[in-house]
Amino acid sequence: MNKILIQMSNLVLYFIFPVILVLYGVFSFTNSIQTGGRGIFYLLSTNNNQSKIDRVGKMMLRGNIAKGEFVSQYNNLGTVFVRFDNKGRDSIDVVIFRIRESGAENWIYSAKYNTDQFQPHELFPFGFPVINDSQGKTYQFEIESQNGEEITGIVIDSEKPVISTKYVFTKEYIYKNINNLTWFLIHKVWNIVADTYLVALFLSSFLPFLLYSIFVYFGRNNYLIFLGICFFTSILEIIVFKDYLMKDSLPVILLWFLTILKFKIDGKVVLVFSIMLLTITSLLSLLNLQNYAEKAAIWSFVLFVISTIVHFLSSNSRKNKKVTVEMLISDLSSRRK
Amino acid sequence: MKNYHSSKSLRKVIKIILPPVIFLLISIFANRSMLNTPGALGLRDDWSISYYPVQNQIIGTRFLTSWLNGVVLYRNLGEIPGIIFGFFSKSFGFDGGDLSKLMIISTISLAGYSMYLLSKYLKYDLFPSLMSGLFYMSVPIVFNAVVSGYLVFLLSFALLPLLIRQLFELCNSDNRIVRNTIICSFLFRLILSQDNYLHIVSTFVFIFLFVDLVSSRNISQSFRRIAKIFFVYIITLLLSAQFVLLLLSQIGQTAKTITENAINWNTYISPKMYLAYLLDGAGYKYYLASIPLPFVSVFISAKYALIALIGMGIFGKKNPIIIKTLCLTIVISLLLFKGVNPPFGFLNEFIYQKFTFYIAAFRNIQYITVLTSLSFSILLSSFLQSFKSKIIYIGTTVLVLYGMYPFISGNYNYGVQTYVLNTGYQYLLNDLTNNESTGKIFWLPASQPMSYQDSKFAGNDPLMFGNPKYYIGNNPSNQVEKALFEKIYEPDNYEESRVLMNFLGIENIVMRDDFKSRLPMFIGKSMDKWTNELIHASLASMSATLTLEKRYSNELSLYQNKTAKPIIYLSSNPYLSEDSLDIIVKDLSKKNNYDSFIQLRDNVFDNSLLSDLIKEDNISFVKVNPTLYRVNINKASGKYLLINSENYDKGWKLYIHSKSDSRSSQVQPSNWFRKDYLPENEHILVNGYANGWIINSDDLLRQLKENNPDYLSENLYIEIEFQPQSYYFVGLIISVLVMTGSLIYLFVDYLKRKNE
Repeated sequence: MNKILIQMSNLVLYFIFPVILVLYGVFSFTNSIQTGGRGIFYLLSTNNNQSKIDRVGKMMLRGNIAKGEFVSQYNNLGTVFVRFDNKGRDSIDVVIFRIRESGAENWIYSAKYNTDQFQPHELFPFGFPVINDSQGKTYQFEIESQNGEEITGIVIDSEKPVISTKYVFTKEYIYKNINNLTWFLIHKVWNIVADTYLVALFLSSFLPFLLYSIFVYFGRNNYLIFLGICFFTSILEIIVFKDYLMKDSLPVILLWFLTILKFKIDGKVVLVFSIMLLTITSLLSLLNLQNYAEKAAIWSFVLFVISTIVHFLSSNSRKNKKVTVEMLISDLSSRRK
Repeated sequence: MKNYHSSKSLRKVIKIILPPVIFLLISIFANRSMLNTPGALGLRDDWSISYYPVQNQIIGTRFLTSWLNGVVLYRNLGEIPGIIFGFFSKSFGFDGGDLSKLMIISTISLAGYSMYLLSKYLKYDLFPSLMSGLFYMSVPIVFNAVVSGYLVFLLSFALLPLLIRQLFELCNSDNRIVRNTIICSFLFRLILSQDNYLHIVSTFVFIFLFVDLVSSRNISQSFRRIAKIFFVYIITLLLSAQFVLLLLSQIGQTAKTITENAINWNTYISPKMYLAYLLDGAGYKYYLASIPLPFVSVFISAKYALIALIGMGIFGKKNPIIIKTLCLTIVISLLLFKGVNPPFGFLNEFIYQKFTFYIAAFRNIQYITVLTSLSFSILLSSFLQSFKSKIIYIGTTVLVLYGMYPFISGNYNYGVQTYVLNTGYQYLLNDLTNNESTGKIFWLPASQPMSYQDSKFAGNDPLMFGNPKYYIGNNPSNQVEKALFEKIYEPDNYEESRVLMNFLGIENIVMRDDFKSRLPMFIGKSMDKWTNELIHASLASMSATLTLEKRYSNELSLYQNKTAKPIIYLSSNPYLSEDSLDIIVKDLSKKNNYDSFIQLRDNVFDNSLLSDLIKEDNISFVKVNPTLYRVNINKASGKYLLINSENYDKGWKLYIHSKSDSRSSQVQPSNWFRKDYLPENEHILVNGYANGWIINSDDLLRQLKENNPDYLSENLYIEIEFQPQSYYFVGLIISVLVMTGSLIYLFVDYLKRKNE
């Protein structure tokens, strides 16, 4: 009976559960692509080296004009993205965006935009009627501030890429002949590989499976490895993902809890990692990487919450703790020797 | 031997005196430029202290009333600073400049000192305690509170550590429980001058009691602590009995107001976690804005390094329960700070939906950072106590001082504005004070006009508050005022403005060209549309009914409106309509024969009651105080529609008296809890905002004579009173009695101890 039970539990542990996690990964990845608005029939520029814009990092004051230029990578140019930053203040300016082909006298398109919709360190899409024969042509665009003031204005962010472009293709064009289809598929695959969001999404979706595998198959008795993995995956989340999303970080949070439970780790040990993340936030801030600093700060807070929860739940059984801060420091220093 | 003793006691005296002196000197240094500037501090968002001494004296008497300028003062717990300001103005002639500077210097230094005392109480050494005080007095919320003008908030912030210290003492000691309970209650009551602190303090206290209960091995001791704190709340509530009773008497309206205002433009505007760790508020960006752009990253980075160090204070061995309390407080406060934004938005959304009353106190999210600031300050002591080394001490001191950079500029990096009102304002105030008219005064430009010329920001009006007369011009208190505030910018529709002003009972208009409306910033319309020139054009168009009474200076003029309705009058020809206010006002601008209007869709009453109304000019009235009017209708007969141009509220009641009472002033209510007021179905909403009563004088006189055969007069003596004032006044008496009793107890206790 016991043997059957062990076999059953092994089956669940080593087969059924991993399969469920793989299926979850597949579902999560495809679902996120669909709900994330990542359409199929478009391409993003992958080479932004030829694009440039002035006034980067400077506050756009009333009347200031930022002039930009780029070479269209494909035909069917439909959107120009520009990255802005509100410097942590509330921007209430209105900017005029206009675009024309280099050397042309008249602007192809011009429109006004309220800057309160510009998210800090995010690319903002300036859409316009699709230009069909755009490939290889140079385009100029301008962004003019209408009411910008020192505190309420907007800044063109220095985080790269500052400019990006989007090309829209119709189904008819793609399916018209095999050449079009092949060409589009090759470029689309390259687009996906170059799109860090999709890579991050893939990693995130299969993260529960990866972490579970590590947890089950490797380093069962070495808490340092597990703490390292937990911290590393948290850092990975900060680097890879653009925004902090609860669903993305849930597997990592779960891993932290599992590790704490498995090795009876003191809450203060987790706090050490929280403080380390605060220090990382400080460095990221210094490097003007506010978006990453924000994510690091959130992760620091998440670890602080975990630490507090663990601290409370285990406050009366401190003597049973296996891993304390003192032990961590001693283990780390002995390893170094 | 004698020398030894005297030097020992001298050292003791120095040890006691030195810390507050240090904090005071730092505060003076941080505010040195402001102190050298003549005039009053023009604070950007909320004008807490009025300009002239007489205004502050008037504000000092505001605690006697439950209704003022069209609103119930149900949130007005802040009357204590008002009384103190009034006292200083009356006794020493302090003006707004003296008071605002004194307030800022004293509260900032008090913040540092009270945190120092708390830290010392928690058995941390001198240096950690001093650093803790320094950190607390220079957190961004202090900077933002000074610049935005939350002076009452600042006072509460400064007293908070002192309250926490007293609460800890009360909880930890069984000696002198009554004395400590009273002191805690007094401090708590003072702190409640800014009502949001009820939630702030309660959150901390609740967390502390929870942690104590969970962690303690002596449950009975924990319950004892809960009981002690319960009594602190009871006495604090008794010390605020007037507001508690007023709240209860108006519970429906209060709940509605709190719910409606729980979330506003300033809530959760874009709270970033990395800013929360810096203890910066979300709504006001004055602190970070004061740092030159190239240094922002370095500054934030240094602050983070300090916060990371402070975080290590959690490893401190002292005060484990308090450290746990601080951890949980930081978790909760940072969580709330993120608001409805990701990643914890769903949690806060839930709290907002289910506990609106709780979250309402944090509608300006910077309030929650008070708890984070408090926690980090104590943890700083713990950190320095736990890691005693020269390098750590020097490093931390450098980081704390660097974090004070925005304060060191001396004028909050031009964040605080100072101003001097021209003498015309003094003459205007004198004229308004001496004017016996009971009509309302419309301060233009309206709706938080208070912006200094060419300033992007604003503070509340420096003259309107503490004005002796009923004023309009700050936040609109009803739909008619709101309509007028916008309509006055439309000279083409001046007739509609005239109608609105007449029905609002506006007798005087003050036009100030040294101010510009701030309204556009909030509603997002073009600034160009809202200019003072447009207001002048409107006023000029109304020259037939509006006369320029006096020009005090180029920027300051007083107009008189000859066609304004009196505060109390009888209407015989009301305009009845099912339409919206906008359409009614348009109609009335073309028809002059109506003396009131009734929006039928907002009023459920029997229209037939309005038939056969009689016009009667033989009416006189006196405004006894903001909650009581006495009206006399000579030779009354027939049916009247009596209108009182106070904002409609069910609390306003009309009483019939058998004798005339000619007293023109009294403080106490006239009709204590009387139930024989005119029935509620005869109390209607008129003119879109005012109280109206349908009075059948023949019936009333007949009843009077039946009840009192000696009543021979044909006159009708009426009192219109805001009934909740009875509850308020009873509460005021309770508060005074409890305060007096407590003070006597403290005094006797002190004498007893001295004798022992």
